Amino acid sequence: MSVSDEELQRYFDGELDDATRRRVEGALDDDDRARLDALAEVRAALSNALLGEAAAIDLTGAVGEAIARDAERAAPVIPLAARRPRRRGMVMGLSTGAGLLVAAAAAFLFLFRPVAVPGAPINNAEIESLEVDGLSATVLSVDSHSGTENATILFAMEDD
Amino acid sequence: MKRLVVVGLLALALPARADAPTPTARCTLRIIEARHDGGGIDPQIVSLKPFFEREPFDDWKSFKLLKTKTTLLAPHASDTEALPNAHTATLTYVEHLLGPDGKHRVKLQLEILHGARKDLNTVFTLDEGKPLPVALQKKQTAATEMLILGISCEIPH
Repeated sequence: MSVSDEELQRYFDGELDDATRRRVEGALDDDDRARLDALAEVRAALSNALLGEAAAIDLTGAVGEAIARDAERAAPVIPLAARRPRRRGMVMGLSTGAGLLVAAAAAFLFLFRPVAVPGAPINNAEIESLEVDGLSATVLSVDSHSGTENATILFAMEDD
Repeated sequence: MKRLVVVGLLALALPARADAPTPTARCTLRIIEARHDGGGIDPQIVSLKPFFEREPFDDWKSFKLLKTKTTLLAPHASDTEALPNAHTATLTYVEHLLGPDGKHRVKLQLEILHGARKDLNTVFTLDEGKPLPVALQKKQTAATEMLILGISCEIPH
């Protein structure tokens, strides 16, 4: 892989300066383009409203602790503590497994801060663990209007 | 390792385990096809309607119930169902929980296999009788249909 995960994410976010952007563009390989496609697909599947409401979240600590507790049985992951949420407030874990990337199966998980939406459905679901292979997965959790309950959905996108 | 593992804590307060022996659970798997063309929401899946009327599902205009399967599961028992996309879904009833407010909750494991590959493996807890929508989308295009699993369990009282 010729472009680092961090560079690729920042390239996708439009956060690179011109010189770095040109270098990254020149270094993109098929795996990188597949990962960019996956990022774009996941972003397209999410609502602008949810993205806006999710600003300024920082779940890094909680997610990192959960991963640490699960470390004995979990597959290797990139420490999320090293991936501070960016402007949209997303926490992303990205496998470094080359096979995953070759298979164009970059997988991402975004956790959003629950937001108050009047009349939202309720299931009070808590996703305790999630492993994916060959797809991207998104967990969306939205608070009820009262803020005491939530509705959670799991959205997975398969590769071609 | 061809896997990504991400664990998220979406709530800090976890419900206590019930003291009584774990009861059986009546679990229902609804298999739904979502399409971009019109057709509305199948009246048989009214419990999922509030989800489908909102993002990200509101991009799809038709939600058709393909199959409903209800199974009585003992603790730690599983049931497997073939999906229309050539995958298989296995639902395992992990345990029964009681919330601090006396609410019955169920912990479940969902595994989706494509051949020998385990595409998805998740453990989750939710209120009894309430559905968790699990969307399986092949590609984000205007013409692509999407498969949605609606998973819910009830505890006989």
